[in-house]
Amino acid sequence: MQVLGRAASVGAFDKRGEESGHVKISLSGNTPEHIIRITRKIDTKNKSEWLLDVFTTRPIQLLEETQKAVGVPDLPVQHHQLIYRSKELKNLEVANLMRKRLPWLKYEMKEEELIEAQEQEKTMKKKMEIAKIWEDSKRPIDYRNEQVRAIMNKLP
Amino acid sequence: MATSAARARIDSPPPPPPPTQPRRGDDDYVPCNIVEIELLNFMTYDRLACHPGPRLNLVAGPNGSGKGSLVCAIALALTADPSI
Repeated sequence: MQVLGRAASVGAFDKRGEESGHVKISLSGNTPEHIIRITRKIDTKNKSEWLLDVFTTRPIQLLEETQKAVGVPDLPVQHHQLIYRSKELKNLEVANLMRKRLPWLKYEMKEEELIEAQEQEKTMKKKMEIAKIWEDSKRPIDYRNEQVRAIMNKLP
Repeated sequence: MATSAARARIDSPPPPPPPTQPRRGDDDYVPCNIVEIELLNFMTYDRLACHPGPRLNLVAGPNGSGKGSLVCAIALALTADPSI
């Protein structure tokens, strides 16, 4: 049973002899300046196109208003509860991620300490090598100094 | 300990605000009233533009003048299926 009782296809609503037509309905919003325009284009090939021009209504608000318009009393209440539960669930997920990440943060701190200690070890090793070279280079001079000191002692 | 703390954190959501009757604006329209209808090549209409008032509107005319077509136009623009 067709409530409109005229036709079952969009194209039949087109004016005879014309290729296409349209219906444009303007609805009032929350203020006189706020107008919602709905345009439905039709043509004889049963092709239909929707155009919805909502200036300031956000998709979330549009969904909520649609739920109210549907007329099921519990629907907005359940939607509100679902939004609240979703936020709670997101908070729990973030807390869980933080708890999981904490050991990794500690590991990363220890790794940085290890790298720093390795750098210090490398620096100290270089200093030791330099010191050893210096000590080795001093030996011939010490030997010569001993010889000179011995000769000086023998002089009258 | 963590599970009990997590469970305690999920309390019941605050109740939503009570639904109020839609309020008429300064122009006497309620949100989502039809403020303008424009037809182009729709059934018997070549072109039509009219501005329904905010309260009771009457469409009068003899047989075959397009009274029902106007209702069809409104329904077709606001619903998806022409076989409604």
